[in-house]
Amino acid sequence: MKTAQEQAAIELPLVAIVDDDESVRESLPDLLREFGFAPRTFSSAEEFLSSDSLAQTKCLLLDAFMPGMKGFDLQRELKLRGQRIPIIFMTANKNQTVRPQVLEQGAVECLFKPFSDTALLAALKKALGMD
Amino acid sequence: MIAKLLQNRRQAADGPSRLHRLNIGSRLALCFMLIILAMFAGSAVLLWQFHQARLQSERLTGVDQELIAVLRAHLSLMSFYERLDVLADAEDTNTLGEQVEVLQNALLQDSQRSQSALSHLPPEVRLDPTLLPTLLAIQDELPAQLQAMAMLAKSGDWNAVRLRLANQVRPLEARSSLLVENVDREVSEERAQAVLNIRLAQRKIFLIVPITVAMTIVFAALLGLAITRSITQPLGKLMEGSTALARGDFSHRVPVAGNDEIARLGGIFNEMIATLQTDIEERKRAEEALSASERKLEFIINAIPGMAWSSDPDGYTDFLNQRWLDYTGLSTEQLQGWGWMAAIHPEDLKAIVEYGESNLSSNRTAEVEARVRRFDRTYRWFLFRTSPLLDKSGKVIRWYGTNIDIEDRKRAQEALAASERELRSIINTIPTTAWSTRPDGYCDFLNERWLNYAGMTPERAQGWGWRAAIHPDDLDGLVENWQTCLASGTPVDSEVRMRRFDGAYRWFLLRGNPLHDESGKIVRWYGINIDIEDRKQVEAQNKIAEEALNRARSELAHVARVSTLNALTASIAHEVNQPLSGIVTNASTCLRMLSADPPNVDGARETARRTIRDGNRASDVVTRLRALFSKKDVVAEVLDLNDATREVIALSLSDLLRNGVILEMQLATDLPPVMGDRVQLQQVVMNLVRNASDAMGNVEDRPRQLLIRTEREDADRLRLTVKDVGSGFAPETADRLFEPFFTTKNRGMGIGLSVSRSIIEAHQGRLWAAANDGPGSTFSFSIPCGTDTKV
Repeated sequence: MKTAQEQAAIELPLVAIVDDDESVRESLPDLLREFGFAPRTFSSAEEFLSSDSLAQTKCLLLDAFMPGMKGFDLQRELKLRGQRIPIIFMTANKNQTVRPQVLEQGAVECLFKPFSDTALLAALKKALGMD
Repeated sequence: MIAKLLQNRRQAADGPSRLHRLNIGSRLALCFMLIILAMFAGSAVLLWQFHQARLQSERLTGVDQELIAVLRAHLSLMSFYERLDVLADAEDTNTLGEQVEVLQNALLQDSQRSQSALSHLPPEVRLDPTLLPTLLAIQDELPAQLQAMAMLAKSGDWNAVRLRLANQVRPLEARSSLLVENVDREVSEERAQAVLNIRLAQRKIFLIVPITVAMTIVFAALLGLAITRSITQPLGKLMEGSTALARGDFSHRVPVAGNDEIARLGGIFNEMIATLQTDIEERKRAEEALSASERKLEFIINAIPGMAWSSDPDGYTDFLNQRWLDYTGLSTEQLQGWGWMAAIHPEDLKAIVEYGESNLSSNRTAEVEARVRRFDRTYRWFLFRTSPLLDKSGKVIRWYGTNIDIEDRKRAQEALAASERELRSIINTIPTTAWSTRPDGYCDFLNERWLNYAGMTPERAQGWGWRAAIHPDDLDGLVENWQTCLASGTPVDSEVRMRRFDGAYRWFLLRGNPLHDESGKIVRWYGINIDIEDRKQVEAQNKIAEEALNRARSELAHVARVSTLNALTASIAHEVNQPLSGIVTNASTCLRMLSADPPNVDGARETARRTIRDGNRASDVVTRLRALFSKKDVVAEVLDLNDATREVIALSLSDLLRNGVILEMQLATDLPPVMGDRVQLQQVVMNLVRNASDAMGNVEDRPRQLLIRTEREDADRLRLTVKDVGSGFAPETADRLFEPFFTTKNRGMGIGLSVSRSIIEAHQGRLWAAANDGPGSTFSFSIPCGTDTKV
């Protein structure tokens, strides 16, 4: 049985958040920490791709619509690079075409903003195989 | 002798040139030396003659002595023989022995004496050649014979002795007598000769002495004459020169020869004269120049076209130039002193007197005008000006003055004043308010209508006092406008409200024009204020009508806005959902933090704060959107087109992204603000952007690039351009694009562009479309910038 501290000593799973919206980047990390993850935020897909945490990312929270490289593009790019990172899409656009599209491309889940914390947690657990 | 004299004469004649090389002292010394030499020469000659005479006399003495000597010798010999005879007869041996010795000595002595006397004779005395030998023979033979005789005597052979004596002595005796005769004869000859010579010498002396004396005298006289002349002649020339100088003849020069003292004196004299001559000539020249310039000055004073005079320090006028005399027709005697006052006009006399007094005191006035009577008894105006000549201490030595004819100028001034009065009456009668200012804007004239309308006095209104009659709201604008026009010289054109005397305000059109002089400089401003109150009323009515029209337009715009609701819904949802999402997430986090053990209160606080902020943000979005969709009247405000454009883009960004539009924004950084309705302008931008996005909906083979650009079009206009690479439009539909209900879209209503155009036109701008060189089209609108655009 590991204590909290011992558990803390063990490396927490790195969850990357890629969203151009500042409020999302501001609010999500705290929630993820509560869940017991280690969040990292990026304001654009390019930033994420050029960062050094690419390899350690266990899960990616990705905004679908961003200026510059879109979420779909990032998904495609990671696939091309052979980075098999589980992706959870987020979007405020409740367009019916988005969800099937990303799921078809291999996303774990597509959440519609605003989403509840439980929905997020379920998606994360699914992504990390912690069912 | 004569030849010598002549020679001397000649010498004396050309003596000066040679003598003058020496100084006078040397010359005199030389002269004396020569005289002394001459005297010496004479003395020498004389002495020589004397010497000659002496010689002869010595010769004479000599021969006499010769005779005496011979006689003595003979006598002594005779006596000797006589004694011997005696002795011999006496036959006394002893005595003979003794006596012979003595006699022999005595005889030898005498003989020697004679010998020496003879040898001491002067050489001129010719001695008988047998003389000395005889004596010598006697001397030689005698001692031997005597010895022999003595011996014989001793032996007692007195006969032998006597015989010897007779044989030897007697011839000696005879010889001696012969000698005496010869000598006697010779001496007589000699004597005669000597006497002759003496006589000759005497004669010579008598001849030579006078001659020598005479020669010496003549020589001395000539020499002295020459020397004296050599001195007096130059002195004479010097005297001539001095006389000439005293006479005043400065051209005379003393001839100078040689370099003795007199010559040097002559040279110095010449220099002195030359210097005097030069000085005198210079002085003459200076005097001539002075008198020439005096004449010139007098000429000028009488030629200048003005009257000039001069007086002593008290004011007594002692000089008036010719013009004074000609003008007044009076003479100098009549005018001098204070007589000129008679020519002044009686009315102006007082002013002149005061002017004169002020000049004499320390409180000078510069000038005075007075009338002076002409010779034909008419009066003309003159300008009087005076100026003092001061000495070093500042005291007045003389007064100088001019009088300038200003009659014509005075006439012109009066004519001008008269025409000014006339002009003034015109200006006050015409039925409009009029004013005039100096180049700096200082108003020094307002006509009567103006003053009566405003109810102000000229004193109150002049300068800048007229501003009190301008409505306070209009005053600042007017003043600024007026200052600008003053500076730039452009005519003033301004509408302001002016206060009437009863307090009511009426609208006036204020117009002013500058007056330029020949060089282009502004010398005055002239203006009128036109009552446009009635026109303003009409304008106001027009404005109301226009406003009604605008309201109709905005109604139309509103309808256009509504039609875009559908498309905007997505934007709205997106805009609102972002903060909402943040709220939900933060709240969830907050709950979890508080549920933790121990509760993370700080974290919860932070998330709660973020929640509130996001809630406010959502509220802002709603407000903005509401403002966007609410029907509002035209609100004209100062806005930044770039900001408005950015807001529009922010609202439509999600939509654009969804359509795959690549947005490029080129917003000018130095864009000035514009005056307009923010909402309406944003509508236009939104319309253009949406159209551009829709136009590219089917574009697959190239990037869907959308360019939005703002820039300055001119000095006073802005332009906003929206460019796409879509399907474009056919050139023939270019004009129809902006018609109401014209559309190329499947689901469009066709009112966007027409409404946009009317909005832009209401902003005094224009909206147009152009096809690109490549695919797509460019829509642009330009509106005036600045803050005085009337919407």
